[in-house]
Amino acid sequence: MEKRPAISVSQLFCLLFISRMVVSMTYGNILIGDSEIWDHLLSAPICAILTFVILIPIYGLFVLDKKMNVLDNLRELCGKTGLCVVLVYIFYFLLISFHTVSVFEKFIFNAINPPISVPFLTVLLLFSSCYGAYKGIEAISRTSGLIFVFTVFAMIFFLVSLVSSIEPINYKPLMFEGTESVFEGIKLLISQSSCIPAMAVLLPMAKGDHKKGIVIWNAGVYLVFAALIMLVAGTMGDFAETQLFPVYTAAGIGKFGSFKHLDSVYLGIWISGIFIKLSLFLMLTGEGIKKIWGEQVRKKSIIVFGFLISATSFFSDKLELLSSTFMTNFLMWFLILISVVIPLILVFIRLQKRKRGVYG
Amino acid sequence: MNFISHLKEVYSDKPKKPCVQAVRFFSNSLTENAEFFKREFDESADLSIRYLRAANVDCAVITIGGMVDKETLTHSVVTPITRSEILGSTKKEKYEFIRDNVISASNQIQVSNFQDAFNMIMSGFAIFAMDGCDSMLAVGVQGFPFRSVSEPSTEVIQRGSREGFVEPLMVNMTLIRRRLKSTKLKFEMSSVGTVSKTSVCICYMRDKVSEDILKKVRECVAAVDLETVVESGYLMPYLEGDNDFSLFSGVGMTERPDTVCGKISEGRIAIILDGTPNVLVVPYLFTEYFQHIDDYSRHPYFATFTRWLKYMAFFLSILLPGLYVAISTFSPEILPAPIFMKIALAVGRTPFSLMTETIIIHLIYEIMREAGLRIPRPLGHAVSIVGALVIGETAVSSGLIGAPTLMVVALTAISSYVIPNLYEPISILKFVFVIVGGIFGIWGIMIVFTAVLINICSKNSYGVPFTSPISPFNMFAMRDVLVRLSWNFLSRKSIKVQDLPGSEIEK
Amino acid sequence: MKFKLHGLTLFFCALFLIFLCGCSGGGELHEKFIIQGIAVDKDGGKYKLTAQAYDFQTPKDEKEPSIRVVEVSGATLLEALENIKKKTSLNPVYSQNMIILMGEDVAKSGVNNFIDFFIRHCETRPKVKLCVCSGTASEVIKSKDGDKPVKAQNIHDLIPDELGSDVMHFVGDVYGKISDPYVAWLGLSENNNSEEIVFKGVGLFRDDILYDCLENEDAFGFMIFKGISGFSSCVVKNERFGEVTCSATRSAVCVTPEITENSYPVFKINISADMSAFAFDSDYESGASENDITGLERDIEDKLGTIYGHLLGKITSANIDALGFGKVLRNSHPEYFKKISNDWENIISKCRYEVTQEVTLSITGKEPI
Repeated sequence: MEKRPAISVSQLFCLLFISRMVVSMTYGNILIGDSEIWDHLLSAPICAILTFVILIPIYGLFVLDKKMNVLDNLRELCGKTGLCVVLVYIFYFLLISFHTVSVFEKFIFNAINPPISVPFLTVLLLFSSCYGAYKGIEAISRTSGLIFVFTVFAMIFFLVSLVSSIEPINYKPLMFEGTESVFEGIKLLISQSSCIPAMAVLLPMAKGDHKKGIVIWNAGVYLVFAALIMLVAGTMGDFAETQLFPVYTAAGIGKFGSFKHLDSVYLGIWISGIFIKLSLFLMLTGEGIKKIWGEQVRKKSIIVFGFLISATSFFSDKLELLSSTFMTNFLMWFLILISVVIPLILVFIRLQKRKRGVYG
Repeated sequence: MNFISHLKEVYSDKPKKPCVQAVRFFSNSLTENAEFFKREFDESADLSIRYLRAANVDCAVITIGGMVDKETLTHSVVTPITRSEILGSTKKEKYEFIRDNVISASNQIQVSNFQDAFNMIMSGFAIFAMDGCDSMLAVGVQGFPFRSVSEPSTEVIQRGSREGFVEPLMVNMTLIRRRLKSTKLKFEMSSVGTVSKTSVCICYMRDKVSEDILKKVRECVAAVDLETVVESGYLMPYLEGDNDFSLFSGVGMTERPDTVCGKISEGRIAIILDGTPNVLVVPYLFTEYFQHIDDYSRHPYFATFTRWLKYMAFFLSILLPGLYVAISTFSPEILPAPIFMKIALAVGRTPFSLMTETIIIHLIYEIMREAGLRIPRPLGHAVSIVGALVIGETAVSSGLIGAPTLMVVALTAISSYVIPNLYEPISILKFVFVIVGGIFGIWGIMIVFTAVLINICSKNSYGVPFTSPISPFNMFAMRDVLVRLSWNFLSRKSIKVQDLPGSEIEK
Repeated sequence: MKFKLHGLTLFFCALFLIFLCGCSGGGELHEKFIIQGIAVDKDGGKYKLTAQAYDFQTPKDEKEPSIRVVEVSGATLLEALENIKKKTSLNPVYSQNMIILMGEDVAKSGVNNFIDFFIRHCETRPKVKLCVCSGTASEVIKSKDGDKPVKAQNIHDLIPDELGSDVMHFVGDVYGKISDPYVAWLGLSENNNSEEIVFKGVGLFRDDILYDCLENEDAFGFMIFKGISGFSSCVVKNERFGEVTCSATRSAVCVTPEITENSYPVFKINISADMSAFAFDSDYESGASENDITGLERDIEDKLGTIYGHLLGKITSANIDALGFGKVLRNSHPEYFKKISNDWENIISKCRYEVTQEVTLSITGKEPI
């Protein structure tokens, strides 16, 4: 009997919260294009509700058998076809890892432009993340518990440091330019919810009240996102539109007593978050591999994928790919496929089999 | 397979010494037996065989010189045997009469084979042998000199007991028993080292300990395949549990009996090795590095304050030099203008880069520290003077080293002494962070720092997460982690180590 | 053998890390030209740039680094900045830059021509103060206090943070296209030929081009409108005390736009201010009764009314929205503003501005017995 790692629900959702916040912190003009960032304040609550809806099939599948994740279900219910579908999940998790590295590189290159070689820094990040993925979900989730505390403190620090710089006149009426930005925001936020497919794999690993965890996580993620938008729009006004990463720029404006230039705090938290997210998705890729080829291949695959992503970071220019609306649309539909369609089919198959008495 | 398990595999290639030796029983002839003793010890100078004649039977008292108290031996063994009237018709009956009525020592063990007899005499027992008997009597007359119980120099406290462990195992056991007068306290004896046969004692509270952990500890001790074990540090790799590469150890070490009592009261297990005052404690968690026996005798608010100081000192000592190099080299905007100006002025006047300068001073400091530890005490002052003059004065005034760098190194050094048990990982990590900071800047430091966190968090000490109860988090257990609440609160409910969150131990 | 291989791998990894030092272009602090302040002027068709930085090659006995001022020029700002490296052999670092001073010529030829660098560059900060100088900015940044140059920090401190005279507000206003930007107006005082930098008032821009400047009472009114107290004082004539000098200790402005059909918006501006009277020119011995104070308050309100009448007339007649009326209108009447937003620039002067003042006076200092 394979020993299944056990983490608590709070650890799981700390991990997913950090993975989600990393994306929110790099929210900016590269991804949103001409869309009005302020209108995304309305997109946030809508997305929170949509997330609950999207999660229904995954949660339903989990409730049917609390010991099996979506990959186990695929293997058990669909046999070889199921294992082929596992490849789709592997591809998604790999794509998100690749996307995370791209965001990291782009952020470092555009917002910081350090006097060091960005690809080498990426290699260091991947090397370390592979180590995290190798160590498994328990190590990652425990670490995320620690980083979560730092993140919360940093958020409070930002809030306090930026509140005094808010100029209410900067808050323009919502949907001033029309409703298009709200829809764009919804699309973008949903496409960035890579934690939902991750949940499909991770839910059975966590012990505790899952429902409560999902509600708090979802509410927390979008509340913090809304707070970030409020802070960015309130402090920078129209200047935010000129910045590639306005949240980062806002962090630099903050002032708290004699503490200035708080972007370094932002950077610290963000890099740790990227590390955690990358470790998580590399680990999830490995989980998929394990379901098909077993434990030994899993360990090797993590290193191979790490090298693969490192290599692409040297040779490919991902700027265009990322900024394209294609990427947003693709990720959104991909997410709906693996978080809604496939789990729904699995729920249906399982219920059918249960009716036929296969599962008692 | 990780690096350490690979190393183990490499080392395990050599043929292992058989652990079980053939047992040789005594013969009925005293001469033969005595000859065997002499032969086995190869006429070693410290082997002493004193022949006596009691009730017309040849007898002998075999001891190792220096390990027995001669006065006790005389009063409780030799004089009674030679002066008493010994009843009994056969040699066997006479031997039994002596055993039961003549020898007045309280500690007597009958041995029937040479192996046990060797162990006994090398543990300070005197062996009484009689011609015509195939068993001998080991009499407890230990009297070897040992260091008296004194305050351990490595764990100095302000309030509380000044007693520290000493080298003899029995004395150490007594020190614990005196503090825990409970029938639940149990000492389990065994030995390690195929040659040294060093006595080792596993000590725990029967009602607190987890059977799972105890079983694992026994297995770990039994798995020790060393020839000689002269220090408890030898056992640490065997007790570490999983073969996971980590800079931090899941085995604690203390010289204080009160600390051991506190630990075993929480379900931990102490491993006491004969011949060393360092007692090992398992499972040992990350937060325990920051707890000190002094915390519990101070006011809670002050103990909490010192806890925070220790955590701050730990992070300061591993990160400060690295951050100093990274920020000054890559991200000077983070520094407030006045500090920034001072650093830039100092660096501008020194010939080395900031990274090189920091590494050099750290190395010099480590050399001096090591020299200070090993040097004969009278010469210690010389090292201090040379160090203070060479580094503190000359290096800065000659412009070789910048004053801010020196201050950073000094601050790091002082901070690392706040948690002396963590000195080893700290000294390595600070070098790692200086190099990473000098190459990859603050971004590299954050990545490596998170990797170190993963390393710490992935560690389990006997099934208990090393970072518990911080992560996995338990609010109640935090009463003695980030804060130290009053004893009124602490005493309400004690948490056993196996009950900490994330523990895989079955209750 | 295996062990040796692992050891070698570790050794080479460590060596690789050391060699990576070459990949990192960090450089030491003293090898950088850490800019504290930049003055931008136009000299013919070229940008003339004067940068102030600390000189870390200062002699050893000096406790503070001396200040170094470098003048460079180039066809574009970036070219001029690049020339700093050629001239000093040091890499310019902008993260510590506190202030950008613009000469009148540069400001009048359009700030957008060069400001892009300060928005885009990773090291520059959005809160870097921006100001315009009467004459050339170079003169201001090179001015001396005794035999030492005036530090950029001191020039920076002259401009109150609350004014919003920084790159972020300027660019936000230009980009937002509703309000017009403004920045602090600095100059050298002309007393006894000594070089003293003074905060003269506010430079008004139409889009990114300097249009006019507000000085004296106009500047005083502008500051009160922006909620900045303690900037300067105004003199009020009073029957009882003669000329009384007052300064604001707190001010708050409430702008309420009203839309009427077939007419332009009316902005009702209510200014409430706490004023402090420091000096009475006459009859200060007998103290002030409640009636005296009320009378004085009315006089100050009248004075403020006059100041705002002049100020609003000056600003709005030029169709400049430096006080942010457009944003207030947008926020309170979005639908209406949407209709007129394209023409807002021309509507500013046609709107009506009704100012009411509420002054609370406190007399500070020792009261006569």
